Amino acid sequence: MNDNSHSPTKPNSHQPHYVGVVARFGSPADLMAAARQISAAGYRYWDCHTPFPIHGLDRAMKIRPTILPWLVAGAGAMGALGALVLQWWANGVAYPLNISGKPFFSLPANVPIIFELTVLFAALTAFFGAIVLNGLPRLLYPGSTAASFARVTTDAFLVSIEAKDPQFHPERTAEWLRNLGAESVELCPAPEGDTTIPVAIKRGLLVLAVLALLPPLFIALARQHTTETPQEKPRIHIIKDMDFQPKYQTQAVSPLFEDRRAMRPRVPGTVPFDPHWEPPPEGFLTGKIGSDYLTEFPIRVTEEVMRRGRERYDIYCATCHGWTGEAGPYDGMTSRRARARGEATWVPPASLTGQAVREQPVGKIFETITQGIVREGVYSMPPYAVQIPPEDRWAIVLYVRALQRARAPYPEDFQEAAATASTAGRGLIHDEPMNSNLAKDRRP
Amino acid sequence: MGLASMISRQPEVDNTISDPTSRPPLVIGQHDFATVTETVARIPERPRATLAWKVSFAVAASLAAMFIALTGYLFVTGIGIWGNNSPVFWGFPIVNFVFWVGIGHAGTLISAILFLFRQHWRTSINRFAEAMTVFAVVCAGIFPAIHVGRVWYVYWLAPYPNPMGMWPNFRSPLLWDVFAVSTYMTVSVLFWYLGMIPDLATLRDRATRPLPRLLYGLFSLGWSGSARHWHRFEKAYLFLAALATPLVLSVHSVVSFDFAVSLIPGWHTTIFPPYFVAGAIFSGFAMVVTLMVPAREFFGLKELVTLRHLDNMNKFILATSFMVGYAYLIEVFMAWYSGNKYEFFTFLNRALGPYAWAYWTMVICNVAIPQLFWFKKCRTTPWMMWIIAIFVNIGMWFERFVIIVTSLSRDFLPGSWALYKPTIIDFLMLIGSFGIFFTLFLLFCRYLPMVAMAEVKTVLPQAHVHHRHAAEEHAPSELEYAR
Amino acid sequence: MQATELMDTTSTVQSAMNPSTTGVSRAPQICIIGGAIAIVLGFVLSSSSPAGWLQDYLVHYTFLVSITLGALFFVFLQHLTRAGWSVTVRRTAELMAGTTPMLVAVAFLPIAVTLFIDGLNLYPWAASDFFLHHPQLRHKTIYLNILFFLLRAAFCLAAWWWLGRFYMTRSLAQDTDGDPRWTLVMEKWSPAAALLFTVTVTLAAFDWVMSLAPAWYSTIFPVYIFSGCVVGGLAGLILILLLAQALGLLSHRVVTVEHYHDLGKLLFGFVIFWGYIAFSQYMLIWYGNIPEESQFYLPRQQGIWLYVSLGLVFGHLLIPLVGMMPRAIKRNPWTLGFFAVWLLVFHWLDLYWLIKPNWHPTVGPLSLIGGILGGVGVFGIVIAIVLKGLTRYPPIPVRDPRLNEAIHHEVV
Repeated sequence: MNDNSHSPTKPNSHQPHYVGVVARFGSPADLMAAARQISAAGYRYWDCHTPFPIHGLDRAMKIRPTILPWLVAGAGAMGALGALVLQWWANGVAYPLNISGKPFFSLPANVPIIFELTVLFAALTAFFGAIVLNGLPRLLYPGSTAASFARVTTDAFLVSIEAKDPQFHPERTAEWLRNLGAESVELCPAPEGDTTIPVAIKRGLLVLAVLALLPPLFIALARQHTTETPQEKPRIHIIKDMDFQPKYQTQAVSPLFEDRRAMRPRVPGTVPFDPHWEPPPEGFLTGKIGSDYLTEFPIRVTEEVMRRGRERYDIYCATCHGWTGEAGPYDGMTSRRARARGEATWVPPASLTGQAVREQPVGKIFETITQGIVREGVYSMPPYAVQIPPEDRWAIVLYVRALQRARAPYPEDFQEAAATASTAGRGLIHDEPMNSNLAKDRRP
Repeated sequence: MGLASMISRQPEVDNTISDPTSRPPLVIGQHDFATVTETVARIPERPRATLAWKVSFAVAASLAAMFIALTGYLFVTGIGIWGNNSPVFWGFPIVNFVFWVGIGHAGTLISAILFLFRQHWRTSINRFAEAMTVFAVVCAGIFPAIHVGRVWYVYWLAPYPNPMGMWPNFRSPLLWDVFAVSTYMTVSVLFWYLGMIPDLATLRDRATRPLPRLLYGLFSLGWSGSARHWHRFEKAYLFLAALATPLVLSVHSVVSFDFAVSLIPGWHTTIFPPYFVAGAIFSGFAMVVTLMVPAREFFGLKELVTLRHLDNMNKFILATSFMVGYAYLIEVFMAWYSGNKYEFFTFLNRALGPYAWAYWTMVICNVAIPQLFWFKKCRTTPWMMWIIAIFVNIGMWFERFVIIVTSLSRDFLPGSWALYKPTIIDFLMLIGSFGIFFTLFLLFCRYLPMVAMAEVKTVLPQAHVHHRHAAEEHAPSELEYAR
Repeated sequence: MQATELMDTTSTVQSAMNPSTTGVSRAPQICIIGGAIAIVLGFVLSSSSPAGWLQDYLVHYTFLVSITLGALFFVFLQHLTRAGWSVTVRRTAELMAGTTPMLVAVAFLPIAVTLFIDGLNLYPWAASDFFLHHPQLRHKTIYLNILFFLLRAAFCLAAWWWLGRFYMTRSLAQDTDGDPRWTLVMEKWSPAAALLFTVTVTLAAFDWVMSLAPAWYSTIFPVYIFSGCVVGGLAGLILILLLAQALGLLSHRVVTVEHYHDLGKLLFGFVIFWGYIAFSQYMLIWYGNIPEESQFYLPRQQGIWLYVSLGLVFGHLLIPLVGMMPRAIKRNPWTLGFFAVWLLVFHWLDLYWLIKPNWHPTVGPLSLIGGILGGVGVFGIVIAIVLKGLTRYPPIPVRDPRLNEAIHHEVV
């Protein structure tokens, strides 16, 4: 019996107000058959309730497929994109760290987190999407008052039709359901009783909310101090033995040693352990033998040394002496800046290509780099012994010689250049593999 | 009270007969929906816990308390209370971490992967296994958090904008671990909880006392078994299963990356990811068996978790034992084939060096003893499989110990070699972690539905839509039995 | 209920046994001839030297082996898991694994022969002066020597022949007497079959592919090869089933959209598995950055190989991952067939990418096309052999005890 053409009836004021009808069926098969009928009859506000999902029931009920899959896919894509952007930005742009030379934006290394965040976002969406789309949490249903509803999570297979469905009529719908094979049919009155949240829970939530505000409040209070208004109380040290460790730090006083230094100096006579170590040539470390400055280089002079000298000169010396070593407007940037600022204590650097330095022996230039220049008790040129190892210092001296020769070339240099148009290095330095007329080109 | 109530007297029915013409029942004992509900729901509904539960809980809780106390001691005093030294910077804590994370994987495999493969026998054990996963991951996550030294700065691992302008190093597998384990924890909890909602509703509807009714009602979110809700529920469950499957592969692979991305001999080898995953499933199934054999006995679940379920799990244990053994062999072969003398030495050292006792324990427990599962008798006798499973757990703990400690204690430079000496705190914290695990697990057994009632009902013959009432049918066809 | 289902099954089976077979008997011949032409054409296009042909031949050979191994894996996996849904597709897989091993064994001979000819060596270590020039690899001589190599190869080929025949003959025997004990036998021996399979695939992976670069090694390599085999085997199985149905050899009532859906799901899962293994290997070697290991990937990041590598990432993993995810794709024979072809091509490309760069820092596009053509030809020959089998034997295990389950299978 179908109630297709039935028009909605207003509930009679003498009748009790029903919110729906609940019918119980004996087995999943019976439920399924009834569901097909109800769906075919055109009911809209109805549902089945089962203790477990019954396959095919959603098709029988013509339930529209949920949009959840699209939400999950979209969330997963967002997770992937977000992870990619996060890693690219954090390690590639904002805070690049050199981790064993790996590229700052390393896609292979980023894949695991991209995958994890994809899964995380998708899973959270699947879970909360299903809950929210289901309208859960939810307290009551039309029909929850039916007696058989208590068994729905155990073994009851129910159909519930709501009163607000246009085809609903208490007695007729109930009769029809009985004809569909329902074991029992109940009409459900409106649920009685208070459906609001208990006062105790509301109060509890309020207390929790207030308590949750306390930590940020304390933090805000503590952060009121600035550099101008520092805290007077010392910091709280919870883990004392990490903050105050019983160890001696550099530059600290130690009562254990006679010289009261925590840093111990090297034992006299220790040498660096190197099985291939040989003592350097005489004058290598100081630039002079006894009190005579070296006039020859104590190292083997090659083009590589010259290149190294240029590189080191550009790093250490050019800042004051300029790229070409000349004084005046072609000084280094530091010198020009000092002049521009009118620094009274600035001593302009000497010209490396002028006659004075040109006539200095190589050992003297080496010594200047090593010890700096003291004028009236202060360094006008600081010593570079700490920054530049001796090998490099000799390379710089070699390059200075090249700069000097560039400024004041020998006549033969023009002849050579004109004759052979050769590259730099010929005749200027002691480069055995390249030059065959070394003796002729030896410097004065 | 008394012993009789502690151990159920359910008989053991053997449903492991192989008969290709029919599918054996997965629920034995003529159950219907109501009796399945009763079998499972009566456990949390007990007004007072059994003596056995109380004693176990007391032991577990005291071990957990010890763990918490020791953790406090660790925070206050520092990592020095452990045996970590140079060069064995990673000792027990990381061994424990990998051990617990590995155990968690079987739960996800049972829940998610077996779901995707339509193995209906999973329905009796999946809730149990998922709970095991959640608690194992809790235990696992504790160790890396507390082993960092300055635990109060552990939040620096998270990428958040900070006044230092610093960001964590995403190229480090240790950070991948943070994401992987957190994601795994979240997804496992979501999956476990989602599946539990209908069962919590069952407990809510059956509850007679106000507090259980309120709490079960709260956490079941008002579930009513609506078909429209089931539709979305099933979709979400499918998605979580489909997501959890690659997730479980990725999590233990990321854990293996912690080791494999380094250059340490014995660690830097490409087979680590699948080897670790296989090992994780191996140890996880062993833990499920370890827990399930007594649980089904004490809680009277033998008709839902039948010998067939245990048989299937033991077959997984045997299969993964082979995968782990295969990895051992390949590593040894490659140590020779590669010609890398450091790699060769590492494996020689593992077998014959100062930790040879650990290595051979590992091999015997992981490869030799599970071979007993070729025998059907061993696979289907609860006490036998319980012992074998315990050995597997021991073996897998030792596998992580061997990998971490032997490779670190003797790597490239002999001048840096040193032995690792775990302290008593190391041992106590390992034991304590079991305390935490069992505390949580016993609470689960006491208050939550241990078996997925709704899912088990779907494998009953009566659930099939083409099945008429049992009274009308004489012999249901093979299709109608669960697979 | 039971009676009607049985009748339904019987009629379905009967119709499966007597399909409309017009023109079917010619299909195997067409495939063989077409396949052979494709292979020859492929050789001609791709290379002009015997060495080049041999290299391509090795790629085609491993492609052939991988498809048969993938099918074999499918067969014993179904028995291991006591699956019921796959009974109707299993016969095709049994034929793929059981009728091809003779071809596989014979086709190995050219590779074996080249070991003895110094100029044509595919394997560098087989050259008589190799270890003289590479003293640091000398310890490998006891493994990488011609005799032991051939012994291992013989073992693998014999094992695969035996495994393929084991399952095929017993399944065919069950067709005649319907005894469920055949199923029990096949199930009982599946674990041992899996072990033998594992050992032989490992050996083949090390010997036939990894030793092309004798200085290189990777412990995950056999797993990588295995994952490719399963992808190739499943894709091949799907294609052959679709073809067989198109030709009327297999009824649509026994292999339904539900079976294709499940096969599609398995294929999807193993594509992800392949991606996981490939990424693990790459990432760990990239991260360690040791020349000893990275020597494998460096040539594969240059020239045309860079594009092939990227092509594999997108074509073998990302595109099928996204493309095969929707349910509808797996349930439509055209879209599923498309991805099966796609994955077969990319599986071939994977093997090409593994093997060819050992000799060629770059190859021209013509070489690539020629190679793919050859690969198609090889698969054509496989199709031919299996279709012949489907006409000769019952296309489904007609008296398998779980046939009912398969016919009424529904993916819920």
